[in-house]
Amino acid sequence: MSFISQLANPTRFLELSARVLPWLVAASGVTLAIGLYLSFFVAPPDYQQGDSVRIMFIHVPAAWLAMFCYSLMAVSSIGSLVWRHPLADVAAKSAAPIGAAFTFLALFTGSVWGKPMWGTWWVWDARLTSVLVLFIMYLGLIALWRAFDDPSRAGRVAAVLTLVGFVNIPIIKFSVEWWNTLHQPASVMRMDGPTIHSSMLWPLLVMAIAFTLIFLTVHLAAMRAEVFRRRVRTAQMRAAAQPAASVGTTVVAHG
Amino acid sequence: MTHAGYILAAYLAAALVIGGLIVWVVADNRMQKRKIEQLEAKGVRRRSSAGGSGPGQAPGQAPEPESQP
Amino acid sequence: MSLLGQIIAQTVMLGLRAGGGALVGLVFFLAVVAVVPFGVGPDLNLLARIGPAILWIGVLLASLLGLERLFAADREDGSLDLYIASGEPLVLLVLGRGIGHWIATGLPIVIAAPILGLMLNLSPIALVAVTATLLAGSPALTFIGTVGAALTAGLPRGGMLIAVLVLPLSVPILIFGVMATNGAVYDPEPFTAPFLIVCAFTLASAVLAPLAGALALKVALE
Repeated sequence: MSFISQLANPTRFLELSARVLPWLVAASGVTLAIGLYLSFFVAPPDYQQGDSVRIMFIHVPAAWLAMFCYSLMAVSSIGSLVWRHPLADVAAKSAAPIGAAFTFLALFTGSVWGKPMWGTWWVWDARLTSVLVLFIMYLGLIALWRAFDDPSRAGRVAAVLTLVGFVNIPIIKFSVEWWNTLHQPASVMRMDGPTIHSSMLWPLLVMAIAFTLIFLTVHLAAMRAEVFRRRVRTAQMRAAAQPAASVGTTVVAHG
Repeated sequence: MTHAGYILAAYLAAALVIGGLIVWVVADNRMQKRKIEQLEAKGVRRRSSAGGSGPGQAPGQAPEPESQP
Repeated sequence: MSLLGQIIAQTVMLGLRAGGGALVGLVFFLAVVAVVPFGVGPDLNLLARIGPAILWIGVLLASLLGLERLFAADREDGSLDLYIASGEPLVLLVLGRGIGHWIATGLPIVIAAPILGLMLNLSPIALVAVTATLLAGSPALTFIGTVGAALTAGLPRGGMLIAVLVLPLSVPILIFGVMATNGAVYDPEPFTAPFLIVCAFTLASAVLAPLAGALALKVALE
């Protein structure tokens, strides 16, 4: 826990993240390259779907990341509300757009995969609908963040909403089991172990790791930007509070 | 059964989304850093960086707002 | 009268007042239901099939009205601060406002639903079923709405935002409500199970929403 409380100091966080970030970028790039190679040249075409099964190597990791990101935001929300960790709402706020992007990617690639496979771009089954609801929830959170002037207050309000919305995550995960859905049931994260063949499992896992690394990289960078943004805001408020001391009037930058 | 168009669309979308995220985060970082530099050039310093009175701090200034990260 | 009873009574009176939004909600519900045949065409069979869903969506949208002012008025005139200072539990305020809001806005709409259902050519079984499910499920919609209202209590124009926040959370109730109604009308489909789930939603949200709403109010007040 002391590492996390060390991170409570934003300056320390900036120092640490600046050192970690290049490694994350490199790791993301390498893993992505390996994953793409495996997806295209090692994984065999599917017996029934042909090459379009390769869309799975984007779609499934994107969907996993969409849920992982929301879970991360939920944990950050608890950190905000219970421990008042200063960087918790920075983490939550910067994660929301990234999560929305991955959810959109999951929906889009799923649709594009579904057309050749099922013959339809969309169907209102439990899995697709709950992921769509997740996407709307991400957008609602982003809107809520932007509605407040004070980012700390916004953070705590958004934390409550994030936790209330967390009920959707288990619904998504288990939707394919609880309801008869067009979307196929779980074949990787199962109690009995994965049912997918290893020649497809490995590219999938590598792409999932690559996506996770990309997420962490972008998230860390976005957190840094958010810390800077709050410093800018504080400085602007301070500049506005000062009487004009210099010869000309101090014009405070807006934006 | 090639469905090349669908596969291309999927991977292109992934490239655009991830690329877009990278562009967004890099641009955001640059913009915030530029704003901080602009403000520091005007003499607005963080309390922890300036050791006492720095340029731009007029006597009898209004109390500062609560600290933010 | 207990504190909860007083809060409920006050909310009901405020809602039924001229600017309260209760009657406007009713008219809005009528307008929504009336507009649908213009959109989908006057085919009575089609209307009978989608009628329960139209009524449910109408109730959902109409119950969003008036949520914006639910806590904003308290916050603005300082009575929310007084309430917190008095030491009474905030959950009671949220619960009371929720129940009062439902009595003032939700209940009239539920009563009006079967009448509008006639316009949508619903069969008698469907009318009874949809009214029963709405009676059981509309409180859940209101309670979830109070969470949205509490979250945006500090914002100047929280109205649309409440809708965006509340609608995703209302989707499960909508699904099961319509499922239950269809289950009553079409033979092989079950009625009891979805109906009980709708009741469960109402009971669960009656407990959880005040908790979340109280937390949101405390947080929004800082």
